[in-house]
Amino acid sequence: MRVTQSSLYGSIINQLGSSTSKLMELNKQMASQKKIDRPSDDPVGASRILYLRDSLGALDQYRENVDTAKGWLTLADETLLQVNNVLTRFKELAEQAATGTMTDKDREIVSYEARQLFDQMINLANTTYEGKSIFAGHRVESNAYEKGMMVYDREGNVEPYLQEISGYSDHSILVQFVGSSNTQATVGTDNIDYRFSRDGGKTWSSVKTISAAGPYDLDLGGVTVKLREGYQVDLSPETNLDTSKGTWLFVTSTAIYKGDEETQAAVKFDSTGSPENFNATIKGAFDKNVRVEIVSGDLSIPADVTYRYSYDGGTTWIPGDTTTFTAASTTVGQAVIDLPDGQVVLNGTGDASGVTFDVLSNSIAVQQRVNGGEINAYAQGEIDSDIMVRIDYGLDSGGNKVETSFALGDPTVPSIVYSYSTDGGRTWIQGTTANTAEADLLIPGGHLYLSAKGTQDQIKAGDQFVVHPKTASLDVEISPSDTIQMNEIGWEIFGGHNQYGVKPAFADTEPGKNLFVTLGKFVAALENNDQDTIAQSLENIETARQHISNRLARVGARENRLDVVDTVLSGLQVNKTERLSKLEDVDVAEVMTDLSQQQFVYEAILKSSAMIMRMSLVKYI
Amino acid sequence: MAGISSLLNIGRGALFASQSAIEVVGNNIANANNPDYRRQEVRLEEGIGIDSFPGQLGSGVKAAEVFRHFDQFIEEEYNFTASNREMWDKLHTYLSGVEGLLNGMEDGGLREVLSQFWQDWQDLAMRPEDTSTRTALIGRTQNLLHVMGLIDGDLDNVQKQMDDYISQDVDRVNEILQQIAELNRQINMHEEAGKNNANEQRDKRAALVRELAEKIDINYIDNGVGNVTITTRAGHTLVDGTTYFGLKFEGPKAIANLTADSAFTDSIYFEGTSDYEYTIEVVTDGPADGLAGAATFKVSIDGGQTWLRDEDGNVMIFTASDYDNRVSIPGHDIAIWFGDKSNSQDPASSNLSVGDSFTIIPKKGLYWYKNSSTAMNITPQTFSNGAVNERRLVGGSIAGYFNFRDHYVGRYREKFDALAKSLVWEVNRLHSQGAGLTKFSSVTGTYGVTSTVNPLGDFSSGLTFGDKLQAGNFNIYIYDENGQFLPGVSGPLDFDATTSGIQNFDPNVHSLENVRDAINNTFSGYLTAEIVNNKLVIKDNSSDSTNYQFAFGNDSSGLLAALGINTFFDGTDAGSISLNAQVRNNLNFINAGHVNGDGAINPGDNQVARAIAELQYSDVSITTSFEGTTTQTIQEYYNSLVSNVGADTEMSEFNFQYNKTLADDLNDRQQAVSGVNMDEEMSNLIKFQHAYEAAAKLISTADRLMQTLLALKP
Repeated sequence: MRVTQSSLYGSIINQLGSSTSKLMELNKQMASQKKIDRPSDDPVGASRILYLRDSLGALDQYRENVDTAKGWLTLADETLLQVNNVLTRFKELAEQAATGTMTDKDREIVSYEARQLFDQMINLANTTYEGKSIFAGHRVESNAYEKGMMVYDREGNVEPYLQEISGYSDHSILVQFVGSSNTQATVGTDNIDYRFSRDGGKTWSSVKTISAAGPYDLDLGGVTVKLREGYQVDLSPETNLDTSKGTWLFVTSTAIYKGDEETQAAVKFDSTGSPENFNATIKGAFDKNVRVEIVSGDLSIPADVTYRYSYDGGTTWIPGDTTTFTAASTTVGQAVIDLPDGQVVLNGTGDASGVTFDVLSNSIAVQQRVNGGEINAYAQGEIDSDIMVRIDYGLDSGGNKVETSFALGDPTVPSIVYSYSTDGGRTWIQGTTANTAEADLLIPGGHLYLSAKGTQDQIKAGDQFVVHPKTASLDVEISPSDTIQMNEIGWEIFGGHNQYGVKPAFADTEPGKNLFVTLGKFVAALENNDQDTIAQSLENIETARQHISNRLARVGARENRLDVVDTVLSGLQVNKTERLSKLEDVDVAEVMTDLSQQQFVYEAILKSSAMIMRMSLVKYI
Repeated sequence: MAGISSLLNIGRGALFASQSAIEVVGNNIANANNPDYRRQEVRLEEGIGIDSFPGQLGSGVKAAEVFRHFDQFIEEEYNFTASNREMWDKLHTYLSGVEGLLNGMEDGGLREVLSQFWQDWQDLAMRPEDTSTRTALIGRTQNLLHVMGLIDGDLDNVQKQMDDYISQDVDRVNEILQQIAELNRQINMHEEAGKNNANEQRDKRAALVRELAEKIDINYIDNGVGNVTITTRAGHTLVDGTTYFGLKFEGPKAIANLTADSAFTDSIYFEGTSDYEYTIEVVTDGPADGLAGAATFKVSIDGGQTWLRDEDGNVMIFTASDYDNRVSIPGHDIAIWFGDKSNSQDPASSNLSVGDSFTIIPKKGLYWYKNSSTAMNITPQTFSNGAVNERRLVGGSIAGYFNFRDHYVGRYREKFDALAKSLVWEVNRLHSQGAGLTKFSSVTGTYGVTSTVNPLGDFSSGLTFGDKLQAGNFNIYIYDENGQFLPGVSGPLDFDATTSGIQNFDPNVHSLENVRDAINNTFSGYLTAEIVNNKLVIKDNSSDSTNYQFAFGNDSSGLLAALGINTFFDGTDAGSISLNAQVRNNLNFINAGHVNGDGAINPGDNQVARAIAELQYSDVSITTSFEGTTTQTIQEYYNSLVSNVGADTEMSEFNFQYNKTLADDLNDRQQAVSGVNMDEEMSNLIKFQHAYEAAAKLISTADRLMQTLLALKP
């Protein structure tokens, strides 16, 4: 083949160029210590590197989350330990005070310490981390608890008749209804005389009177107790100072929970009256089912709504079979019904007489978007965030889609096909259920129940339901789709009273667990020199201490979980860093070897090129 | 007859032949480093033989012609590979630049700010009420948006740069075509077969053809002398002997291709820009008025090979409409309508027929003109199956620029836009159902429509996220001026007040005006909704003294996110993505929490912040017109885009190297034929020098013979 001058020189330049570029590449690898510098160096390796870098970034964040959660939980842990210590001190005080040898003077001295400890307990419950209340659920910006007052009588009868307590006293108050012994009087029927003492019965106020015409307010000098019509009291003469004779009211300190809690409740209407015209929402913490009957009232006029309620499904009614309470307020379209556990706001139009509904505890309220008007819908289960449910269609017995309205329980449409979304409608998952009078739709964590409300029993393709629970727990992610609760819900730990109702927490399960009520009563008993109640308090304080220990253990368990997760995360970090390094870091020895080999090649090309370039016939002629 | 004078003649001929051979050698040596020069040689021809005694005697040598060594076959092969080499070279050069732009491997790139964005939501989930965390989130988000904007702007710039390069190359191509035609004329004039070769013109022409092949792919047909025809590989004649046809690089165009019996006399119009070409084919007859019974059409982005499909895989059918009801192509920034020939906003008066087809080229394209009225589109095009359109330009640097602009950067931008759009939608979808630290007293949607009366889910509503809407509803929670929740008033919208119960939103039925009316009916006395600049505005009802506040939640329809109410991001693609102005101006409108079961919005609630942070690991559907719908996380999508660019760069480098090696080899082979070798020329020089000396010797010998003869004394 003919070799020409230009191709000779061209190829020399090419060879030198490619050899230099290889040297450059090796030099770059040495400088950056990375094998893959640009994605085109190795597209597959690059995508794995990017993935690993993302994972490492996320692991860093998870460890930061774990760290913050640890901060919250450690503080909760320490606080609850202190609560436990304070409770131990309370127990010691109770043991001392329960002994008969102690004089009332001694009890008074003990009461000073107990009151201080009570205040300290409120302070502990209001502990903050980075300025945020750790026991207030989501309401981190304000204190979990405020000082408040509670009223009780020895028999526990006053509760339903208690409308409101306002004002605050830093000493417990003893209220006596004055009259001749063995006589009774009823609020709203009789004029009732009463007097009160702020020093355990040593000195008394002048005798005051609640008029039968109302208002039924006990004016206790700075503290006002609003009673309702129908409260029956046993009178006793002024000479009687024995609190076991006659009706006595004890007004003492408690703590009002201002945070939020997750006690779920939903309303289900009975078929009586015209329930289709009404719906109801709930405020407060309902621990057990309550059935409420609207005895009379028209929300269109509006006329006062009267009601009664029952804790046993309507067998016994409060205030009585023939008596009723009057709603706290009635306006056009709305009545606010007070119950010991909280409030029910009834909305609607027309005559509400005869409308009966159950407030179902442990049930989650469901918000409806139903074509044919609202039906009864509530959910049950462990659901801690909103779930949207959509009726896709019915299925008739032939398996054909029914997209028109059909009744719940309609035998010609035996199945309901529905979808639900737990991520705000981004993705939907389909399910099928039997169409019964109370249809049970399975959703993540629980069930959605649908049933007729009065005449409204139709559902239709496209109808939607939003399971909308109360939320209070502050969860953070500590690994993909694994969360941990950082905050605490004070209501479940310390109890106290709810701001919407007069009933304290745990009243229906184990009243002693309610730390603030137990301690409030104990302080009152000390101040009132009430040895029997002190003895009873001793038991309750122990129950409360048990409860706190229990909660402490739960916090501890979460802390342990954090430790475990942190160990796992740091292990993953090491592992992924190693894999990343394997993928992208250069092997220095290998690159050095390549480099010296390339250097040899380069020099060889230089030498041979120089030799060839020297050769030309021109030189010889 | 033999004689001394004939000897002198032979000597003179040999002298002359050697002299011209030395001249050609000299020319060869002088042009040794001229890449366009082809080695020349003198063809020597034996002089006429004269029959004589003692037989036929030769009459010496004749320098017949100067010819050049050149292999046309190798040259054509070389030109073919050079076209490919140049295309891949341009692609490789500029793709490497894009690879650097996306900066995926280094710290501080988009990958890092994107993953930081999710981590900031995690931080917010830990400290939902904390202002400094909110400030950090906004700051970092702006950083993310800035980086996205930079990348998008840079990609836009490289595309615009390609337009400049194409324009320059097209100008050069037209010059070359003109010059080749001129050279053909000259060659015709100068060349005389076997006697006079137009070597210089031929060298020039071959050099120009090489340059042309580097710019566009060509076919070279040589019919001798100046009768050379050059066409594109697809067959468009560029040079035919002494005439040539130019190329033009021209702006957006719409071309109608009607059926023979079509009655359509109006025009198709479009607005927006795109890196695709759109082929529109009418599938049912009718007027183009957007009403019931109107003509319908389908759309293709690869010249009718495949038709655009929705997420369920059905071919999308659009209604032919006038300007007011113009159809937005989902996922493309293009709206199409039909209108009067002279005034685009006037409705079309004639009917469309089945089979009528239109091509919309909403970008600058390359056109071949046979005469001034016949523009033929030869813009390089790649079908969705990856094959190139063989009826267009397929090689050369111009095709490289076009492919880089449309097929590569165009797709990266589409993916990048799809990523931004998906980020906007997914974050907004969750954010719009949350609640911040402040309730609204007035809110303005960020996304507008083009028609307030057409159903929002329809292509003619002009709502960017209209195709994402679902049947459903959302809640408005109303609070009085003290922040007290009003449970009886709050709730979902009722789209038909006259029917009992709640009538939910249906994207195929309800328009923006219906949404406005539903809010006004459902929350009469509390809220007022109106449409301002084709966007929804909701505010406190000003007719009474109470200043109601409101919040949103539980949106199963997607309306809030689609209308841009209570959202985090504004914008629809990488270029326009920004923060919702309301959020930017007031950090309290960052929604970390939601309206809970009590109707309360608590500062410690982190449900929405957590849900948004979890998006980092949630698969989302991202749709592009060439890949269809893919399901992966946003982060993975970006990473795959980076490695996609890496793979393309690697592939283009490989193809460049491959074609370069081939071309280099072919060039070497051409050089072997036509190049100048110094040693050869040197030895030729000596050879012809000696020949010259010998010829001179011949003359002096003849002279001496003559002397001898003349010295004879009579």
